[in-house]
Amino acid sequence: MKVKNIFITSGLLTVLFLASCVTDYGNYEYRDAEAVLPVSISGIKDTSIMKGEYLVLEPEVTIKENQENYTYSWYVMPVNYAGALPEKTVWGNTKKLNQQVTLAVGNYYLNFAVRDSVRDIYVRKEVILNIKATEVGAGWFVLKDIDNETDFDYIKNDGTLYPDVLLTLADPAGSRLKGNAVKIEYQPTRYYHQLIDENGKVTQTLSNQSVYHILSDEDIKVFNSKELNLFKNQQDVFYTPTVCRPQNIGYSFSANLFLINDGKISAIYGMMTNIGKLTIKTGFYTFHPDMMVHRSGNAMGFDMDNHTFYHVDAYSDMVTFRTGAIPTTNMDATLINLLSASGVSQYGATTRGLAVMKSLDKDEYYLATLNYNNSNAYPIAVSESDPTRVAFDTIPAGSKFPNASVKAAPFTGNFAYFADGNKLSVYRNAPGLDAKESLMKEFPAGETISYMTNLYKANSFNYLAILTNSSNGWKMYAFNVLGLGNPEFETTPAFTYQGTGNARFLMYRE
Amino acid sequence: MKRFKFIYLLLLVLIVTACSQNEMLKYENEPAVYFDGAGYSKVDSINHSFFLLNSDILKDTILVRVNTMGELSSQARPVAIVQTNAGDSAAAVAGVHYVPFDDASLKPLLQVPAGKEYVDIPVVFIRDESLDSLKVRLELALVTNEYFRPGIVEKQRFVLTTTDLIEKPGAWDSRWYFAFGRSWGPVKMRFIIDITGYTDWNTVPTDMTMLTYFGALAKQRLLEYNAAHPDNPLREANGNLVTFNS
Repeated sequence: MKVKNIFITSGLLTVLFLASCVTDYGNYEYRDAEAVLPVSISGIKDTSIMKGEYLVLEPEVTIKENQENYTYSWYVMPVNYAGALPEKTVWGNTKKLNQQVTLAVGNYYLNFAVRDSVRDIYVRKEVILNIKATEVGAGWFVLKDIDNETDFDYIKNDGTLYPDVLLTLADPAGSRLKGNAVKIEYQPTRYYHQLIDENGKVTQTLSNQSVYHILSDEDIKVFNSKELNLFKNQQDVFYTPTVCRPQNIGYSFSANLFLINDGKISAIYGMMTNIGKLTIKTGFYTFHPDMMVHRSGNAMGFDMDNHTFYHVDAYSDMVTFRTGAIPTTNMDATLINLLSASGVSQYGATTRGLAVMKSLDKDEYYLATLNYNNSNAYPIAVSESDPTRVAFDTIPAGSKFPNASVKAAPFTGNFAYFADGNKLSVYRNAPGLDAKESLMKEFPAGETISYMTNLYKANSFNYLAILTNSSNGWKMYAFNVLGLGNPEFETTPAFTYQGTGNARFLMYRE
Repeated sequence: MKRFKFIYLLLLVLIVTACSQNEMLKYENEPAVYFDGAGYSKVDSINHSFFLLNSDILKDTILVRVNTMGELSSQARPVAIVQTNAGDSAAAVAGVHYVPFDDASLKPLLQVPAGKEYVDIPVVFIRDESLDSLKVRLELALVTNEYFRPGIVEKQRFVLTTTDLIEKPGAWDSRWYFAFGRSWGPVKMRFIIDITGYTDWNTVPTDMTMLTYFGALAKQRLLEYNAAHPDNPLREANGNLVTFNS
């Protein structure tokens, strides 16, 4: 019995043993890729091209043996293809590429493949192909008007100037706005726009577009920034027609957009799907044209009727600020200017700025230092020199600063730039100074300063950029500011540009 | 030993009978129909109101979608639909409040077209003057005919109401409140209709910022109205102030 059991058990185990081992088809002999496919490709690299032009490329291909077995192919695939399979477009099967580029504007992976047709293995080289419809991109934008029409000149970072962009490069050409220039604002993403056919039917909703919003004092236009085609005219930016008297526009990096038009502030809450139309904030008010837009979402403005500062939430109703040492509601003063510190890509908890104000019943002016933290928290900053009080300082009588035609807040520092005519001065707000105002620079006779901004980008630049106008047209000066928190700048500009027309606003786009 | 022989035999029987090839189940085509629901959020009822329409509109059609189950057909197939609450109090009366389904004008429309998997059944309401003071209810059910049987159990019935009284939109508490606040009343509703001009209150715009716009517009107009009538701000019949903030 025991022997029988042993035999049965052994038999079962043998069956198990025979069934458990299988042939291993794995390959443990690794060879170098070049030994397998002795082909090398060079001579092509990342490249940019304008849509409609011909892309001509001829890479250097080295094939060590059996050249007659090899074929070539070129193909492109989009870099961004959210939510769908990327589409492959084959451009040719010869070594030299000579292809007219008609794909949509954007970035693509351009591939050149060399294939062994006998063994059906290949090697490829991939580069980035950037297709653009226009050269207008990163750089300086000088918004100007000529003969009561608004246009802009664009200066590339390499210094190339493209004049009269709306007249010559926009689609349709000749898309200038009527009226004098007010502002241009760049929205890099999250702009929505509906395409409508001739029957008024919506055929497509474009999302995540990047656009330029351009304002004149009687017109508004919105352009697709990649191809400079017109998205919206003034009657399209609101849900119902309204008086068109644009005064200011501001975009926050959280995708909210604010517009002050005819004293009313409107907004688009960018985190909600929309169609690029603005909604007016309710209430009885007349907003001052100036506002501060916090990079993280909301805006701050001033109601001239009730002399009240408001926190304007893009999503909900606007509200007054919480109470503090100096009231910000029903104030005894009205607003002359609300000046934002303009860093490039200025992120951070607060948006700094200055409010120049005038007493309602006295011939007295004030300078309030603001820290707006994107909420209705009390916005007037604590005084640097005396932390026990807020920075709401009386400007000495006789100062030129309050009524100067052009002003600019620094990126940081307890001072402000101001200008009248061709003279650029600084107002220093520190207490105890005998002379708070001093002349910084006098520009050539005949030039009138029309706009100033202090643009700061960490580890890159700190410019005081100034626009002047004369009978010869506009001129732009960029001075290197000597250190943060100080108004002094190099007397010789780092660079200058000039063009035709009256320059009113300067924007730098990264 | 005998025991082991018995066990072996049992195992043998088990092995022989354990595995057998399954017959593949074949689809038995028994076409059925069920109500699809209506509007943005699938519902099993529609509240209709003549109040929202111009007074010269005397008939209004609501389309109720009915889906099929089963294979498509190369021929049109009639759908049998009946009112189940006839005779109940506040029930809609065929021929008075709605065009009966056996009306000659409707018969061609009560069939699933050839090659299609659904039909939109027209329910034609009649603006009878009794609706000035009444809200009537029309309960529908799908019944068996030679072409279809009732399908999904939960979707065999559909309810419509109609009235010429002012009616709270069905989507008020789920969607419209976002723009106008949760409170609702006839005066507030009429105010909103007059301000916005919008009438299809069973359909909520998918453009969320349009809702924001409607809400802002209504709020602003209310502010202006109340400012112009400081001693008589806008109120409902019960005295409650009209507000868009709650």
